[in-house]
Amino acid sequence: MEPKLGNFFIFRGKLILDEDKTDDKILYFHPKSEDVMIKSRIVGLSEAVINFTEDFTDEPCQYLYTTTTCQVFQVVEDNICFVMTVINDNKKSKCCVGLYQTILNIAYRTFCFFHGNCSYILKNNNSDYSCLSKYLECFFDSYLSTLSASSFNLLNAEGYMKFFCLEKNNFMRVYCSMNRLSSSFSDIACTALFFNDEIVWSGLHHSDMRILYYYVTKCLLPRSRETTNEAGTPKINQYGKFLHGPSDLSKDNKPTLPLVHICNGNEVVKSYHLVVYAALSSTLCMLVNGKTPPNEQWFRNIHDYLDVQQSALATDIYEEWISRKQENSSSPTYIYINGADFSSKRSNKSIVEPACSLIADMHYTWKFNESDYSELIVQHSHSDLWVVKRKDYDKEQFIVLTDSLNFSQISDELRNCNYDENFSLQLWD
Amino acid sequence: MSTQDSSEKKENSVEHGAFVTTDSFNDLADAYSSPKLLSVSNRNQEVSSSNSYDERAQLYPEDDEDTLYVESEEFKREDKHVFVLSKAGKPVYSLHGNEDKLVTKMATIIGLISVAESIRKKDTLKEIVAGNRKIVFVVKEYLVLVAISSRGQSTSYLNLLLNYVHNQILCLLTYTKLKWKFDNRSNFDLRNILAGDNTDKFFSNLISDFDINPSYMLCSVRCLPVPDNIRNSLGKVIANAGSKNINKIAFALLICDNLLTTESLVPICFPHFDNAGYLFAFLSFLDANLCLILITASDEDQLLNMRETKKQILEKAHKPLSVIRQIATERPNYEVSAIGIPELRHFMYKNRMSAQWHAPNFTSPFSTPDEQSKLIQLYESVHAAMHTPGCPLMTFWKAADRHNIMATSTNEHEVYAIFSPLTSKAVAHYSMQKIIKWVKKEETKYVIWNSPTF
Repeated sequence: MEPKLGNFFIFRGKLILDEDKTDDKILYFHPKSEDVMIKSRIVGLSEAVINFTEDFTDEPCQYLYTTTTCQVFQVVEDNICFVMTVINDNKKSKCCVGLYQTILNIAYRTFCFFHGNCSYILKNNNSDYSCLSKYLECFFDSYLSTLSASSFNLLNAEGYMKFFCLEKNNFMRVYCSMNRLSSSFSDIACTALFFNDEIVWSGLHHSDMRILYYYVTKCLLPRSRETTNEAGTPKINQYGKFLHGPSDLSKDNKPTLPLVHICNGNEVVKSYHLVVYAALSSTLCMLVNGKTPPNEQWFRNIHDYLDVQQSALATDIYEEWISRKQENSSSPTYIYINGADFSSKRSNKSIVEPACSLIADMHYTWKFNESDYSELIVQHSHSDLWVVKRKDYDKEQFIVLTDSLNFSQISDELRNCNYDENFSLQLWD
Repeated sequence: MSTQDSSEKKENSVEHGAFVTTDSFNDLADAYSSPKLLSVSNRNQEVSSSNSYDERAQLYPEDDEDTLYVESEEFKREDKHVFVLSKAGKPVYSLHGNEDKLVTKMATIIGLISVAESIRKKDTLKEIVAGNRKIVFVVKEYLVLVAISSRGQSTSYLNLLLNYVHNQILCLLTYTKLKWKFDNRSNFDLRNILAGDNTDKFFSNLISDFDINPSYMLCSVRCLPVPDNIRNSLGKVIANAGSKNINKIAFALLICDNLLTTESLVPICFPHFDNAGYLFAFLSFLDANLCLILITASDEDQLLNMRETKKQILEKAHKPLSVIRQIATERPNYEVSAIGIPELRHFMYKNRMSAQWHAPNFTSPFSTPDEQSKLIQLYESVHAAMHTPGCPLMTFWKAADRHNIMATSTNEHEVYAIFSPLTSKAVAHYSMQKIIKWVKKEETKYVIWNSPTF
């Protein structure tokens, strides 16, 4: 059995000294069916562990291992603590705490993206914690359902974005059309274009883009694919449609748009309406300024403007994508990860165990005292499996070699391979 | 604070009770007249905000030094902590500070463990990490052991340390005695049967040795390099003399160390051999460096018998012993340059068949104790990677700013080698083969192959 989500809870630490008021202390708890007694023990243990570590260090408590579980902590703001427990009953499959920390962090950041952070909500609701609790419940009940067992799989590289780097002519076309769109519709503050689940263009800062990416690829697109399949093939003449916006432009009904919040540290800096428009395999996200959502006419204008243009763009990108896919089929198995802009790229070949857990160890677990190493090569016992990690500041590159080679041959092999290091999209602010 | 310091401090506090220095008496008068003296209940808050040990000693002169110390920033920031406590939360040992003053912390540890167990069946607390602090728990049948470290050591290494500490306790008491005491009274104070500061020194020495001696992590021993023929002839003499002893000697060891003690017969329990009972070790120092240890199962008239055996050994093994004495004084060991690879800076070789290891002397750039300790840590991190649970490695290579490091592991041996940072992979690969070849040639000197039996 693969590791799975055990529980996910949010509580107020330290502020409440009265032990009887445990209910006020817990702001959110998943699963709801958990026994009240167990619930308070779980929260109590987390709090006790955090307090215990404070006797020995000033740094915040990060995680806890028991025989069958791994619990990660993140104290976010004003002593509000997010905790996630992953259960791993199978001794053979590995718990990867670094991955769980990323998942927890993204969960919090996604909440902030859609609702503003906790102090922002409290400020707007007279510091009413029960109100905050409702916001958390409303959000996390649906959010946690998107966390499937595969989210806890080591190699899903949660939290990393996939970029599709276009060749320069296509990229310039995308760049120009995005610029033209922003200048034609002045209330569009920012745009991001996806092709399938890869980013082609983004005007957002990468830390916010990471959250938007997660939302679009894990929630929005899978949901829209389901509804498209139910409705059968779309009408030939109508390529484009709104995923966030009016579903039917002929009717005058006001769509409800999600409000997204761009946070800088602990402060909500600006809020926008999120409009999403899809044409063929491309998806365009637009962050729109304004106190109220745009009116029906605005949506009609956007549709008229984008419908043909974006579909044509999507067709060209598709052609490049197909030709690129064929080219890459002979390259070795690899993963690139760029920690600076949270991007990742991988070969089409799937990576199996034990390469998978070796990569996870090399990426998350092995923290050598000398952090500035440039190359790490390991060979698994009893097999011809080699995993190479090359590191340049935040950029990491993993190459999996399965041929029967000795160490000196590995170095020759690596010299012969000219790996493409340009996998990150240059973000033009 | 070094081990020695802490043990000295303990001795002081034992002799003087609440130990107060003369300087503090003056401060005492000041403090009582000053409004800074707070009630006990809100004292903790004040303690956490004040940083210096001295400052607080002035603030709360009614507390003895031990109490102030365990609440101080100094205690909080100690590089490493080891706690041993009974399942009922009774303190047994603490590396730093007087364990009597750590009752609250020990109770918290027991609380954490029991709550974790109550949430999920058969679930035991294993590890907590906060920043660079790692807290590892080992829960045994009667004892709980906790290690807190900020030295970047792997979890398995800290687990190993705690298991050694546990075995050290069994070595002194036997499992049977431990079981009997705790089964009769679960809140038994184990310190009643441990010999106080004397046994604390065993633990503290073991814990500090862990940081500088790779024997523990390699699970192997290091031998004094002695020519093969000398070792064999001495072995024959010992085996011969031992078999003449009426009570039969089970094991005999000749160890080389710089401790000096008188002749004695000590009960000792080997937990992996038989955790229920004692064997008796006859310890006899042949000179300042060499110690002969004869181990037997019976203690009847042993001291006399053992003296006789020792006498025989000394008489008959005069020649090999004089060579060994010479070696023990000079401690000759090879240099890394003997291998003939300029890029090679240091290496560590473990022979897996005999569970023995050896390494060249520390030379530049590892000439200072600080550099040597860092090197051991580096070896430890690579050793942990090589022995990743469920995913062991055969080859490891890391190219870094300061050193390149390579490790290989086969059924026969494990080799860990440090190279200069510009060393190429091809040179490193060739060097590893050359090291193994050299070691094979010299092996009889550095590894004991044939142990004669009684």
